[in-house]
Amino acid sequence: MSKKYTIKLDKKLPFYEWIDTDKEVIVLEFNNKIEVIESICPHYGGKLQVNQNKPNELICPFHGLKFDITNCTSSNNIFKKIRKYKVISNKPFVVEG
Amino acid sequence: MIYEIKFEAKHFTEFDLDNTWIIAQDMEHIDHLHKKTNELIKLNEINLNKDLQINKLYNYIYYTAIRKIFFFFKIKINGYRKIIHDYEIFQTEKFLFFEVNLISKYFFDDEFKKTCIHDIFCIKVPIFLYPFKKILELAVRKHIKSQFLEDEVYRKRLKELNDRGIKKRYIFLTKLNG
Repeated sequence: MSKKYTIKLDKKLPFYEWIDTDKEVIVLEFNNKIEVIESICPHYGGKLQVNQNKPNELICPFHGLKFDITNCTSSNNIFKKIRKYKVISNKPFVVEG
Repeated sequence: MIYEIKFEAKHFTEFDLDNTWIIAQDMEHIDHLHKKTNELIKLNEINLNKDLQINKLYNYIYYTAIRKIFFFFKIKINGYRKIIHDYEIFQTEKFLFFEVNLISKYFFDDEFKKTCIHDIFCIKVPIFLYPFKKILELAVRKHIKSQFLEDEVYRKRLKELNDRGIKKRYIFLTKLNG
């Protein structure tokens, strides 16, 4: 069941936001678009961050799991995917997922 | 003739014992979170604990690692670690000319009201290395202090998730041998 979340874009990108009690996202700019992606690593909860060496990837600082920002998938067999939220409005900035 | 260099170190954290214990057992974060002090770690054999009544992830692990000493000397080691009791790990690492044995104990310290990590080291060295015992001790102390501070970030994150009702079960990323 998807829900809608309003996010204030009043911080410097990228930034983190808890949009629900148990849902944290990273809000970032990629290919001139603002993307909202789950930031809790599905493996053991590390805070996913933009890979400094490969800006099209999010990387977990604890165990090094990597997720492609475009399709949100990893090459790991167990932890394959993280959620990307769909932007449904820009003013106010609302995402759904 | 082999000589022994013995010393102990204690570190205290505000974070709880159970998360401290999980992080202590987790070897797969070493070459990511602790990349200042470790180049690589490879788990060669993991003997998993299959008894869910016992609070440990595994019985023993054989591993190889490349340690960075004083943040730049790289040394390849062969290691073995075993969980010997609740909240207690024995670990031994063989370097080219010496061997580092470590017993780490994790407990809540009633006096300081904090979780304590108590490391007891015994480094076995040949006679020609014994005069450098203070340098070896300093290298080890720097190594564990650096890792302790980096692990505080990990402990803080797990607490943040736990406070929000998120509790994950640790799953090894290494392909297991059995």
